[in-house]
Amino acid sequence: MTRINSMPSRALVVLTLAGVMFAAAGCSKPDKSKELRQIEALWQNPETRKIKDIPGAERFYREARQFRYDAGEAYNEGEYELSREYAIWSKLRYDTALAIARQYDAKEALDKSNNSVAELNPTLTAINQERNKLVAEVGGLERQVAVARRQKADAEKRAAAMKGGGAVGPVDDAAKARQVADRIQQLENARSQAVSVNAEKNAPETFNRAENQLKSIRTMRAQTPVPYDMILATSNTALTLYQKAAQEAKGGHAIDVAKKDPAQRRADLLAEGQRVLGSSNVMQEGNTIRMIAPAAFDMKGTTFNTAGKRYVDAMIDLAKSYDEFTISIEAFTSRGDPTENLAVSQMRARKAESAFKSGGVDGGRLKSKGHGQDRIRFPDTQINNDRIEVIFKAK
Amino acid sequence: MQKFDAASKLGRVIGGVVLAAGLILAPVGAAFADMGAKYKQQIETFKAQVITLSEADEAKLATDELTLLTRWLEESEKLLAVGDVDGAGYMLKRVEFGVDLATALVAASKIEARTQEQNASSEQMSKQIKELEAEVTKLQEKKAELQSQLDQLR
Repeated sequence: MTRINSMPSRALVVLTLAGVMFAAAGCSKPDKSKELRQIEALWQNPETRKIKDIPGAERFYREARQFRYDAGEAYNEGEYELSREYAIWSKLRYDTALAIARQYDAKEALDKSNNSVAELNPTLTAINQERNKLVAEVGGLERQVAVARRQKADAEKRAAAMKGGGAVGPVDDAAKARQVADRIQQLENARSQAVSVNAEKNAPETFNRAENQLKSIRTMRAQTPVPYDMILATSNTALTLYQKAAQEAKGGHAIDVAKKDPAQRRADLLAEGQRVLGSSNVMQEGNTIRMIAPAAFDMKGTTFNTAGKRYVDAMIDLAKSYDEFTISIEAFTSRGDPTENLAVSQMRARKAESAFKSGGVDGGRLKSKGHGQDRIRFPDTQINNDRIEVIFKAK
Repeated sequence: MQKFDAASKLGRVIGGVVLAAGLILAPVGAAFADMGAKYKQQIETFKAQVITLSEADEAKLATDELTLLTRWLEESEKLLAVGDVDGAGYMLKRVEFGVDLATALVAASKIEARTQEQNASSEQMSKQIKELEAEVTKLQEKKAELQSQLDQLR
């Protein structure tokens, strides 16, 4: 065995050892990147594989898995930077698959919520109608009670007057009887005038009050002795009421006459609609008139914008003037996500219906529906499709 | 004479080699220039997409992703400026995937927002139904009372 004693020989050994150590260090792999370790840990979790079954997420899941393999291979081949890059891509694709899964869950929740609203809608409409019916009935009863009270008070007053000698004496009877007869004739004429303009329907409150007065007069005439003064006073009131009822009923009567010619009414509605909404937005379709409020909402919005509010106010006025027509409201959206747009259009339809009701249109005449992005009417100007369409149909 | 012929031959060989190298490298250079132009165009497209996503009402749910996208786009531009076309390509791949992720997140948030609105609508309708039911009960009572008053007066 040769001893290594000389200085040059020792230096050579040290240098050789250093060289071997350096080579060994050069050959050893660096640690895996943080990103690679992260995705490897991710794939060890059994939960990770579950999202591959979510519709739409499968593609991103597959790509994430492929990039994860690529990252591992690149690391084994010493391409460390490339390995890290693949790991980053893998994580981005996996996160996208997760986001798609989140969309899927959200869509299911939205569908459930839409169904719940759709189920509640008929109940709400029915109870609203019942409430409106009861309000009308209670109003009618209140008026009847008031009339009955007044009649009772009048009768009590008459009875008191008779007891106190308030009845007309025999000297004036003939003259007063003639006066009463003339006044009643006037009254009958005024009544005929009121009936000729259908005042019992077009001015019911005033007409009924006059009728009650007339009924009282007839009762008084049958009494003995006849309370002529009271009859004259009551006749004056009744005459004024019949004249007032005839005046009030004129407008409604004119409309009633016009309604007897539905074709003319449709033509009038078409012309008036085109005048206020623009001729391109109003059209006749068979026996119906369709009115369009284009770009009535901002994209994805559920509240009318300024133009939309103007259109709807004009349509409400028309709905009130042409009250023999039923009103169907259809709401639409521009193109986008179909599920989301269906929900938006349903909200728009409800908002529009509620605006018509608040504007004084009877809820019984109204129905509404959201159609989402179906029936795109304006293919070249998408925003115009954020619209409502209102269809007037004769009952 | 012999010397001159040898030099001439060597010249032709070198000329041939230079020409061949030129023919091989010219398309490679052109391809690099094409890629650079393509990446620049992609950067502009991605920038526009990031702006659109940032303007969405629900963008706050993808804030981290949008911040990263902006940073990666800046890095892509820097890499292109120093001629690192490959580096820029890798970075733009990240941006492409990041845009997909942010788009999916914003879309999910939009649907969630609509669901919340619909839920609120549904709750409001249920509340309205209860209120109307109470009102109907009161109206029925009032109707009965008025009917009784009327009967007494007549």
